[in-house]
Amino acid sequence: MTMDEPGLPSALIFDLGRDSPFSFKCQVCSTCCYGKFIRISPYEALRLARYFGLTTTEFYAQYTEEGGTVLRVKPDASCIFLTPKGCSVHPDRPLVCRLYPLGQIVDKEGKERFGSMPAHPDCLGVAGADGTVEAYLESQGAEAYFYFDKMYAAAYKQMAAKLDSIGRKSKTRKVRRKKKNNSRNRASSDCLGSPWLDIDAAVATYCAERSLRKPDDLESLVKVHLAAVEDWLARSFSQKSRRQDFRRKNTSRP
Amino acid sequence: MTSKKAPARKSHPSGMSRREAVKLAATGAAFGSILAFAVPGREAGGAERMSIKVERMAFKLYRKEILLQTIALPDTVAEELMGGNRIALKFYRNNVWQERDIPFDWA
Repeated sequence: MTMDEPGLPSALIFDLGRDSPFSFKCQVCSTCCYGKFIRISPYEALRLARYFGLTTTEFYAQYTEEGGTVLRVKPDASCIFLTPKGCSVHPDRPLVCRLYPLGQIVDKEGKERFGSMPAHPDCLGVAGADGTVEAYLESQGAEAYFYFDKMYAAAYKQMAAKLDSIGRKSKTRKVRRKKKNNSRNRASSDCLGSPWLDIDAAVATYCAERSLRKPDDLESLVKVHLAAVEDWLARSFSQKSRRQDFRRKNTSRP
Repeated sequence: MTSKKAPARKSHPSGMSRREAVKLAATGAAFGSILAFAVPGREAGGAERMSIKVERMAFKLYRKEILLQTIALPDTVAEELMGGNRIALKFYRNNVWQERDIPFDWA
């Protein structure tokens, strides 16, 4: 489906590099805070949670939907954090809000490119070529987000490789399955798509199992979270651990 | 007398149990979604020109500012709606089915 209605951008062209001329002066009109589908990474959720003094578990329950992957919106389609004075979480806003009106893609070789979205008709921001993409990213504090996204992307690639290997092996076996309604398969708004999104919960469990002290600073929390995810990927899918789990469950039964 | 089945009996050809495979798929989907990755070998918006697409549609029910329920529409229905069709709400009141159009504008 392509939306070609007047007033809506029909295409994005990713033809900008970090040294390309680019500037954007936001006028805080908040037009870009409406009608968006803001996906948030575990790092973004962690920063936003700490901004409110919450754990990530509490943050996901209060402010996200779609299995914890998307920020909620208000009935007028505005961002849940938008107030009459503007963004209420501006110091810890998500990456996509920092990049606007830029979009970023990373190709298979790991090369990144940027595209400038056509401005919304009511946007008061002033686009120009007074600076560079690099300078704009720096002014928006985007680098920390890129850094942690790369780390999560590496973990995701491990998951994808495992899923890919399962998929290939599955093709050899014919499995009959009933086709289910899409809407029924989606996670409800109060349920996380995966418990591994929740940094605080995952790190607390990981540290408790190993008698480690749970770190306080964000960078250490993310690193321990990634270690926990990698450990789960390596450990949970080995025959040995499954047998151990099976034995543990059976011995604990009355 | 009961016999306990070993988990390997219900396992996937990869040697992974179904439970683990489902858990991995859900985690992969969640991480892929938030990091804007697609299936292996592809990347989000990999083409030179990326069309702005409607990925999904959902009804959202609010009590004032509080989201009560999200009901996602199947992709096939969402496609039909893009064709300029109408959305109506049907409800049972005073022992009769009633219907009201929901005003909306794609622009």
